[in-house]
Amino acid sequence: MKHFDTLAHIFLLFALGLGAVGIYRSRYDATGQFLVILVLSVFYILWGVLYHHLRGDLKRKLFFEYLILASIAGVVGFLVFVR
Amino acid sequence: MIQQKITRHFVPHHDEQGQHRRAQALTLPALFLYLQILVVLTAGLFLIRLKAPHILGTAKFTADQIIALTNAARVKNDLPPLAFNNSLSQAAGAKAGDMFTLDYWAHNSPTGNTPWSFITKAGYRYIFAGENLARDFSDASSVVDAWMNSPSHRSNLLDKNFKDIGVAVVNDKFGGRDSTLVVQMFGTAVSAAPATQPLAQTPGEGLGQQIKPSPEAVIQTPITPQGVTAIVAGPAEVTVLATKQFSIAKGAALGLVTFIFALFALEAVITLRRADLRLRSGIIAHLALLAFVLFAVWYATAGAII
Repeated sequence: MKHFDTLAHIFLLFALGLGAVGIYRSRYDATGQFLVILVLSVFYILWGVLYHHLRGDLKRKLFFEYLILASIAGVVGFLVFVR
Repeated sequence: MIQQKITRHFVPHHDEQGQHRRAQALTLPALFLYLQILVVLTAGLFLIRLKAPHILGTAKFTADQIIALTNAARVKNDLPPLAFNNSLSQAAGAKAGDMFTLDYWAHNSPTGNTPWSFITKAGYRYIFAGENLARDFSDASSVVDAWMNSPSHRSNLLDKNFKDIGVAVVNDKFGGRDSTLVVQMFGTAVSAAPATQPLAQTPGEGLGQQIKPSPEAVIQTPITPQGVTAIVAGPAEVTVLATKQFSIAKGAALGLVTFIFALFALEAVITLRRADLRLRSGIIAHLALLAFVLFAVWYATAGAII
């Protein structure tokens, strides 16, 4: 399980790292940066659901925690990048 | 007792039954409250910008300032300053008007018009030409700084082939929202070239130099955009509205996301230090997502350039 946890988190960090590169490369392109955040927010929910499902500890409360945090990321992206 | 109650809001703990509890500021209702605050803030800023944008600050800048800053950057890089050219300014104004009328944000219009067509229609025959675009900046120095920080735009600004410059700063509505466009056009007129020099151009990066030679037919009547206020070089200034919207949004987003990040980080640190508490699964993932969002917001800039 520890091995799975490590791999899953490395995968997530890799995706977020790619997103950070996308944000860096699309400076002065607010729409592009917003899209990167939006895509990663959706990915985050999917990752969370899959990760906890495979761990066998997926609960409704946990799902909403991921959903709310991903929504915070999306709304922050809209607030800052969509003008 | 009061101290303990306050601590429970920010630190993971055991309740009276000995159950492991997360910080109350990280419970689902608390996280949902943060989301609601963000939604209300976003909607509020959107409505204020729509109904009374002056509340969010105003600023003024002119095409002359853009030209002066461009020339200052060239002089700093040991290049001769560019001469103001009225035809290029009119071409820039026409391009800006076209962008507002057809509602596009690109070097080439949806109808197939290139930047070069505006230049030739304004009566400027060139051997070299280039274009930089910017929108939604609140002052001239931010525009020029953004161009200087972008390699392709910087190469236009510091191109030794260019002799003339024309700039338009235009206010109008993009997609129903007030927007400020800056169109900067560079050129070297045919007359500025030695008689023996062929009309050959070097290809650019989409926003740079013209590839094909200037057409022989010179149209003397410049296009005037309708329904927009184009400020070509001169003393007149354009007023940019809602200049503080971005800084308010960025500040609020940074503050709230930093607060949530700090709470999760505190939970992780405390849990790892205390043997009687266990690290909730998902904390590391939440911290990684919030760190990514913090980076994106911190790196955000006010305007856009192409």
